[in-house]
Amino acid sequence: MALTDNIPPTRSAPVGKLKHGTTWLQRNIAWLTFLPTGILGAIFIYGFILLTIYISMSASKLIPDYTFVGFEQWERLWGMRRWGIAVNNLFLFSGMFIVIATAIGLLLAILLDQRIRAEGAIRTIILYPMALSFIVTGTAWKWVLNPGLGIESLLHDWGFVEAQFDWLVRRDRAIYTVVMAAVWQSSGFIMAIFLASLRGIDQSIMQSAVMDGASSWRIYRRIIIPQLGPAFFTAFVILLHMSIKSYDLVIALTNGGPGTATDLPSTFMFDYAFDRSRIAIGAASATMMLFAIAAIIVPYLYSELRSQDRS
Amino acid sequence: MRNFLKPCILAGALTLVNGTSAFADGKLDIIHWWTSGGELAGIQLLRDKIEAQGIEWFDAASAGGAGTNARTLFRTRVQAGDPPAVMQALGTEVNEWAETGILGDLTDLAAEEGWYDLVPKPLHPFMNVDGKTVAVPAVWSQINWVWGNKAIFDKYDVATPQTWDDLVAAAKVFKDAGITPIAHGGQPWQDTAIFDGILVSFDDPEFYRKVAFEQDLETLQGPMFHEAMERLRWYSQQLDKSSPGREWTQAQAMVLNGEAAMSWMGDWAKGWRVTQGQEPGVDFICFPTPGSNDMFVWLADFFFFPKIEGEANNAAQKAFASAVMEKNFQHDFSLIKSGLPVRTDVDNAGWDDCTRDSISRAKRAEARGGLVASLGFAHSARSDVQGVFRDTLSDFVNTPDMSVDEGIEILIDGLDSL
Repeated sequence: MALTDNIPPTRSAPVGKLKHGTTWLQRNIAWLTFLPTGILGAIFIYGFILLTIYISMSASKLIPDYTFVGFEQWERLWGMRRWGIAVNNLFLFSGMFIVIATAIGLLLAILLDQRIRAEGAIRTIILYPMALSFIVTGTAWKWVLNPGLGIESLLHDWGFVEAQFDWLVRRDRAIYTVVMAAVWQSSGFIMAIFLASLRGIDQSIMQSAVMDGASSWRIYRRIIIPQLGPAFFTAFVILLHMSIKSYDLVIALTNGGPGTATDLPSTFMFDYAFDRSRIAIGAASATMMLFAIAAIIVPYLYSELRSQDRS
Repeated sequence: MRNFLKPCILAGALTLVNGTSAFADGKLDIIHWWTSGGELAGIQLLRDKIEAQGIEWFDAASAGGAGTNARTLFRTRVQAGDPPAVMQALGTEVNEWAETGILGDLTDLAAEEGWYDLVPKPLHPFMNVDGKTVAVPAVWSQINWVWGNKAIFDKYDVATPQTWDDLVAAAKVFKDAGITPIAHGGQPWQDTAIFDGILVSFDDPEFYRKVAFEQDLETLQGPMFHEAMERLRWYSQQLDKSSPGREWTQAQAMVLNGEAAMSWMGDWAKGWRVTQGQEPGVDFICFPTPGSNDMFVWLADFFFFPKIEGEANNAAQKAFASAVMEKNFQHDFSLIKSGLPVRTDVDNAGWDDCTRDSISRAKRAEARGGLVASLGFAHSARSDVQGVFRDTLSDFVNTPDMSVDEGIEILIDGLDSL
């Protein structure tokens, strides 16, 4: 009951007419509605996050073993070469994926914003890859990029026998193929975000800029793009969380290979927790991923909440 | 209404009576990952036997991920306090689970049926953990096999390679003729599996034991292991470009189609060939990895039995174990699934030359300590140790410019970090 006491009276409460005749249920309906979700969320999200963090500090191997060992597993994790590769790949992948997908998305949005014909159809076509699951994208690109089946073999058949496009099977290049597939899948969606934002810009500003004789390149660079700040931010947050949790795309496209070349923290985690009977190491890697996301999302939430307070 | 209900209740009661009498001997709840081809036919054989005894067979097969999905399912059910009656396992998984104390005890049955006199000795440590019989082997397989396309070997007049040098010479002939010498599926488990074949190609049981069982530092830094890595490097140079990520069956198909001359894979590759209508000695040849004629690296599929409630269900577990170990079943199963029976007294009727060869190799190898458990499939070491080998070897195979010394260093560091 302590919870209800703390809830400030609703805004409509001072209007005596409404207060009169409201039942306990009506007064508390808001938090009662929230309660089931709240309890489930508390247990199945936050409870299990805490459990995972605890397991990462335990001696668990095949099944959870709650003997506390402190930071031993974390230390072990950071001493592993394969974890190093996975973390490195995550930075490489996220960095390129976010930058390239944002750039392509913005470019497509600007091109589509030129009031061209059949815009609706083109928009749908560009957005379409988003409708596929990453498993499908990964499998399709696996075939396209396979040197014996896809582009390279096609070029060979056309007579370009020297043509080479074997990134998928090259240890030092395979991670770029993951970026390629991810960008292909997501940039249409990013385009939609930018397009919506572009449509929201006041046309009169642009018209007056045109009257002043500004080139359209200049209008975009100086006037329009600076106004897209919120869209950039939305795109960034969406792409960032997609890249940190991406798992299925890698599994379908390269399965972490060749060797461990395209391992990401998520594939590492699954492998150690479920294939190698090292649940504690798996939990430690999951904890690291959580921290990485928290390091970005918490400041974001904070700034969001602050701006809400101000308004 | 009453008139209508009466027959219904009666019928229901009858079914109930029938049901209970038909399945009076409990329920057998089984998790496995044999869901295709010969494996599925093999499990069906077992199912028929069990159901004939009036035991209800409750199948929780989980395909995919070479057992990963089934393992995840099993782990979840153990955590939930509802383990199945039977679980499939490979090698040291049995020991890992036995150590958690969740497995039942079949020691009496083993003594009664004399399992330990019938089953080859190297399999015993996986059946018997700390004096308790916890698992039965279903089938075992030789890993150090090479499968060759007979037409190609004949066409270029290449004899079956007996030594490593023969192999190198043969591969050169094929390469010069524009044929991929070795078809390989470049998935980490396959990269590791073929390394088992390389480790025994030195024909030295002691060396294998030091590497695969003990991960002895001195041996890993020694000249023979260095040479083993050189051989793996050579192997990686005999493959076609698209090998990374390829399924093992696709690699076998390349040999079958004549795109490649040979492939290395355990004897299940023969089972697959037979399902493709190929005949040993006519369409394909089989030979042990050169140098390993008296060595035998094996893996085995086991079934283990968690502690469960109910006397009838425990009896069902025992009936299952008995059925797996039964002589006729062992014979039929090894034919259908492709592998070797786990009993030494099984009649060899119906076996092809490759299987006969394999059995005589097992005997020769056992006499000299060369009948050794697989490293690649986590039989000689636990899955975390095997995982380090897997990561390192797979990276080594896929990184043409990684030197042998660098590979060994990464391996040793990885083992250290466990």
